[in-house]
Amino acid sequence: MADQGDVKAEVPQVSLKVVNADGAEMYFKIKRGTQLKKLMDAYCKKQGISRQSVRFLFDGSPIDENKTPDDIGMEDDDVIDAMVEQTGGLL
Amino acid sequence: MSFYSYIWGVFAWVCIFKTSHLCGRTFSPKRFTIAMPRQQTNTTSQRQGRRGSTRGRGAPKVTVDGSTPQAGISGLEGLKHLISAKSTVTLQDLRKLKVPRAAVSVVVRNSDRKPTNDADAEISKTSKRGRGTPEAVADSVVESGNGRGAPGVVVESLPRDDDVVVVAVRNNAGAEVIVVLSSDSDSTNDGDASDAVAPCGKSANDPDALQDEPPYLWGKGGLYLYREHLETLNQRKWVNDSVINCYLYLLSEACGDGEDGVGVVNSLFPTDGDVEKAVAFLPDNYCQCRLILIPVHCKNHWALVAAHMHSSELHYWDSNQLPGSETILNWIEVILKHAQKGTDHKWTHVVKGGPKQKNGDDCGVFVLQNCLCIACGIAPDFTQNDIPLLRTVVQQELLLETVLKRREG
Repeated sequence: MADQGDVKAEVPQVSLKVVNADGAEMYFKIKRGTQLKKLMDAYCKKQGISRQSVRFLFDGSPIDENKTPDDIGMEDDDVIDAMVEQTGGLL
Repeated sequence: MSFYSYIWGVFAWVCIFKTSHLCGRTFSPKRFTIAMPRQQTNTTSQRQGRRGSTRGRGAPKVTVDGSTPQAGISGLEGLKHLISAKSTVTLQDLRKLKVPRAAVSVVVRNSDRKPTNDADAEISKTSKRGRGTPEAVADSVVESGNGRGAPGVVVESLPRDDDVVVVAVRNNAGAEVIVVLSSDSDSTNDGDASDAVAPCGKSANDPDALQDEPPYLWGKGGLYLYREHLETLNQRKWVNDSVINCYLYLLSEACGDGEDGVGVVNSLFPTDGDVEKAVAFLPDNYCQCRLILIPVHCKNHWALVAAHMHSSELHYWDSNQLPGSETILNWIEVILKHAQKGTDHKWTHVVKGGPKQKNGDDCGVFVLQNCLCIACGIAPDFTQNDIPLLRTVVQQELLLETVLKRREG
């Protein structure tokens, strides 16, 4: 088993926090060059929810799943909001 | 006197008969009577299209195979044609189209694509075989410890994503999970792990290539429209945020940038609490916009705030005119003032009447149509009776990824 510290030095990662509407947090480490789609899919699988029922927002903007943390300038400990669907007819 | 009138009358009829005869057409009183009321129509195709409808009532209607002034086709096909041509239409034009008001069956892009050649098939098999490997990887990682202190319990591996490795879980308070995501083989965490995932990991780009077409209909600017979302536009369904936000995105796109630009705010913006966070939801170029459309979701109801930037007016549109408009307008003003630091902007609050909703389902569609009319600079002219039609229109607009602009009439 190789030393993990070496690997970390080679692969720049960013650790992100996904917060849902109830305030529950889930931490992710993701390579800076990996598409955020992977994070979203992993989050949905862990939560047991379907992808189309969650909206991922970063800094007020919906996240393009093909973008990477580098593309949208994410830093360590940045927060991604996982919002639930809104629906409305009348009170 | 009356005798001369009679003579002149007979002479006139003979002339008409002769003229039509010379033109190669047989005289027909029926044809003549139909031709009379449509002096303004110019082409034969339009005449034919209208012939059936003029028979019934005075007002021209569009038949199943008839024509509209713009499209030449009616029904759903006519609507699609109008949208594709990016026409500008009146509500009257849409009413004439006679599009089916039942739920539109949405065509989903084919999602059961099979591997097309032997190489793909081989990779597919490998992927299946590799399903068990993330567990092994995770186990080994946990044994070796990780960078964030004591490892917790390894939860189940995530199927199919061979390059997603669960490292540890801490179950204090709200299930805190740390996951390492790697996109290619060189990122595996240690020797054992790389052995375990090597068969799959080496096909670095293939997992993506193997994946089916995207599950959504389209994605733009981080917004993704799924078939399920579009179905919320079926009759009597409650419209969801994805439909609202995607539609407003298309509308903003259609209005262009610059001085005539229309900015939109995602409906997920916080309706209280952190102002800084809410300011982040404003469009980047909000200062240049003439109009910012803010769909407001409160307690299962959709309403709309339109911020007219040039006149500094905040208009509140609610199809049901529920109380609470001042609270929302005050909050929007706080956000805008916070964003425009230093300027002492005075915002005028106006609660607009607008078309009224007569049931408990359609407020989202009212918001969309109000947005369209305000962005096009016309007074909202639709009524509750138009909503079934407008649901279908919006559904088609979203499918075709463009907005049919409206003009007065």
